[in-house]
Amino acid sequence: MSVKVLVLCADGVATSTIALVALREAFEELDIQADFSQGRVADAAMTIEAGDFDFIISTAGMELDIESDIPILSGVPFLTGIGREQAFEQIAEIINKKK
Amino acid sequence: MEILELVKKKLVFPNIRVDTHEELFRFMFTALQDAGCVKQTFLQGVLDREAHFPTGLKLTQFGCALPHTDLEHVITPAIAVATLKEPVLFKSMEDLKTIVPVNLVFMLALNKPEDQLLALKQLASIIQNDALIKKLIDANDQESLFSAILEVKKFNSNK
Repeated sequence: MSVKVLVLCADGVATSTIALVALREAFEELDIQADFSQGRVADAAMTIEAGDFDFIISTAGMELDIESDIPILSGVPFLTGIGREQAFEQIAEIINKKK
Repeated sequence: MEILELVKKKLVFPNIRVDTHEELFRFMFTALQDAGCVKQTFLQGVLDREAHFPTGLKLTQFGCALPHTDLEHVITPAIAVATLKEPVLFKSMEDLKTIVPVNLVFMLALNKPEDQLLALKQLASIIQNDALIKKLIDANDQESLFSAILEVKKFNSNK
């Protein structure tokens, strides 16, 4: 099984990369196969049409202008370290539901 | 590159007293402009970006903000640092509706996308260390804030 993750930030380059790298490392340790995409929050609606994402991580707010029930999680815990454990618990829940 | 290399002594401001983040931005912008690092348009750029994509981050003990803007407003790369004993209010990066009291501000004036990423990556690792943050906030004059930054830099390069 592989999970599809969309990581978003304001410019689609900086903080989303930091969150993406942190997640990728964590997933490798847990032996979870993941397929990451990266983008700008402003393009979220367009980006999600192109992929079948299991969840979205955003470092630039969680109120995205999208019509979809894909779970949206904050990526800020991967920048500050605060709430990281809880974020991983939420992700684990999403992955378990998928199984 | 060690991103804190871009922090020069004349760009560190301990214990600044301001009422709003706009006032703080104007102050830090003026210092960056006087140092020849940024264009006149930088201030509006930072204010606009902060309004749409705020950078306030709540840490364990303190609050931190990393205001920045588009690369085109920058002439030579630099980072200005300000600390505030009386925190100033920022919106949270996580949620526009959440307010974060901030005591430590790194204003990034960078002109390459790879530096922007590197700066945010290194600063993210620094702000996860409460002891380092406290050292910066406790510094009362420019000299001691700058030496605290050198200490943080040493910690960061030893990792």
